[in-house]
Amino acid sequence: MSDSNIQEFQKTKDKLDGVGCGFCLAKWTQVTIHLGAGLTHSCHHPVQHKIPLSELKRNPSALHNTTYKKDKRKQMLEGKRPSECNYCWSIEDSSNSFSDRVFKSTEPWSADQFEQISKSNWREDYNPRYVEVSFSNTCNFKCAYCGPQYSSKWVEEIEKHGHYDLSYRYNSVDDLKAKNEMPYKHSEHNPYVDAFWEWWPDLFKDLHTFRITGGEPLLAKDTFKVLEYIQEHSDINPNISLAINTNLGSPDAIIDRFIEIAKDLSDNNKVRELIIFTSVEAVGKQAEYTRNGLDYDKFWTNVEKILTVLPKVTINIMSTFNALSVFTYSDLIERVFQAKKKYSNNQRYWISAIQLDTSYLRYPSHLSVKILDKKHKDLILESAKKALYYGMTEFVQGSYGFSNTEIQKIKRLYDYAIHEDEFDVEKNRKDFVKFVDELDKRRDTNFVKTFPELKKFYDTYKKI
Amino acid sequence: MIHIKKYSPWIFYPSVLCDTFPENPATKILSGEYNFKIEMRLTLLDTLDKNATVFTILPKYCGLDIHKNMLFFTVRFEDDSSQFFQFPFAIHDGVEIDLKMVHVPKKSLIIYINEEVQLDLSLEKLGLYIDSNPCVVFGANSFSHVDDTSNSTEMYIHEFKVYEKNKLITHHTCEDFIFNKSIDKTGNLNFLHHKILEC
Repeated sequence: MSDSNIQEFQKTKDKLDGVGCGFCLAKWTQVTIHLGAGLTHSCHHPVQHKIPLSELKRNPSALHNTTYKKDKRKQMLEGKRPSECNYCWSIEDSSNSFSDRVFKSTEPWSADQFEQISKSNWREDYNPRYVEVSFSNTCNFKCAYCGPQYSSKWVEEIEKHGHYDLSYRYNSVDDLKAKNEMPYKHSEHNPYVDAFWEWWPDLFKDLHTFRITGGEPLLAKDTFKVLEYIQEHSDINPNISLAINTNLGSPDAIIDRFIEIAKDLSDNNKVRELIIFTSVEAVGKQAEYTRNGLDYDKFWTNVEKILTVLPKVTINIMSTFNALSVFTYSDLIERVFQAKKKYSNNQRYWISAIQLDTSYLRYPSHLSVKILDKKHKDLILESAKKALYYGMTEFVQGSYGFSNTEIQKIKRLYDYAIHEDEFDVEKNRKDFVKFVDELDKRRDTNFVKTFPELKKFYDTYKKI
Repeated sequence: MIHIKKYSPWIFYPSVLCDTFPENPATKILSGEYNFKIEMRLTLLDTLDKNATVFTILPKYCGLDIHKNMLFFTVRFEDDSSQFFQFPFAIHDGVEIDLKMVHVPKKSLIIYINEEVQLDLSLEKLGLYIDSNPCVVFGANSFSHVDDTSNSTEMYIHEFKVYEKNKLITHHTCEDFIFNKSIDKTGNLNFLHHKILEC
């Protein structure tokens, strides 16, 4: 972190602390809303809470401004630290590092709101600037590390076969129902979506960033309704930053319709930037095993189609690196590098045409890289080395290659994999074998054939 | 080999890409506090230039220059003063140079060209420059901006090695490349790289 950055963050921290030691702008400015299940949280660190339908009836902005959240804002304005924000308090109490409270309050979608928010009444409604919305859990994939909350395909599987009986109940729909977090079905009327559309015209004008997640957003009609609204009302907010998650596995007609709208938004400057987030964390059959529903070749066809037709758009691959990624991640790095090179131009808001954003999977823990043997963990380091050799020398227009951040995240993953902590390796290895056995039975797949590198590992823990 | 063309220098600066990886870049030891040895084999292709930089350790300029068919070595000291040493022989286009630079902190700096000592400098009174994050540029006196004032020259690099005391920590045979980087045969990721373009 540069000295000027440190000074800026310190300045923000001093201002926040001037209001209260728990004051954080993100409680007002940022929200993630899961409309499918009626859940919200600000920022993304606290556990999501249910949005009371009774509040929505009189105020659609209760998708963000719930009574529950207002109570936390009250605490912040009165110099208290809400316990749900423990993620930041533990950082602030155990180190001299800045927490996300400071980083998020320094973001351009927060910083200029300080005066207004710090002087506001906690009862007031506030239109957030950074909004992330999932319209439903409708999805054509059932990735191994996902679950019913975010995938209707998972719901179908669990309703047919029941939960996975590991050392705990994995992906139980009954548990979701018990917590009142079961998403509405695609065919059901969803009052949270109604409230969103009631609120949207008022929300849109103030937005800095709007991100659509899922499920698979391209399978939600509301996604296209939002995109068309932005097309038609760009004069109201032409500086919006738009981000869309997609697995790029929808039928061609849907992908083409999306590209057509994206082209209009991008070419005609109806948005400040458009970034498409997608996911893959392995190559070929191994990728298809982890991301059930994926057609790997089709995925890359769609990536290339987007980068060709949309020369201003960047694709970000959010890679949830897990135990099944290690054998082909190096090949994925190669593929991403070739795309960076082929589609490099001077037209993008971001320097890169395509970014590989590697993060490590923590849950479900039986798919974590921590279950692997040392020799397999070392493959992560080899991948990091490859990314380093493909590194970008200068972060300037016309340059291409992996950025410092992309490389560091892969290296950090290796450090995470080899770091010894309280992770229960034996328990998770046994769960892993139970999981893939059940997965193969339900999905007619063959783990050992797809991952011959793990045959010995599998055989060992199958016997235990 | 690496063919360095005019206005197109190469650089030995592995930490510039990712400051946490490699964890102990070889460039770190190219400073007055450390015992290091650099070896390189070069073919100089443009020896008539008025001023040309064969290689230099930056940001404290210390390295080998060409001036009208002669070689000079610039030494930068810890008090930021410099001294120039002219080597007593003429060179011509296509000359092969086998250079060895041996530094012992607060003791000596010895430069060998083709196995013969050309400079044996005592550092007992005044040590070599100190810097926490040096790099080595080949074929110019700077890396980020190269123009007519950059003392650019043309050459081949055949081999490049760095030792910490007697331990080899970087070895480039300049035959294997990934993207714009020569592969470090020691596996230590201390690559030599070109600015943007592929080799």
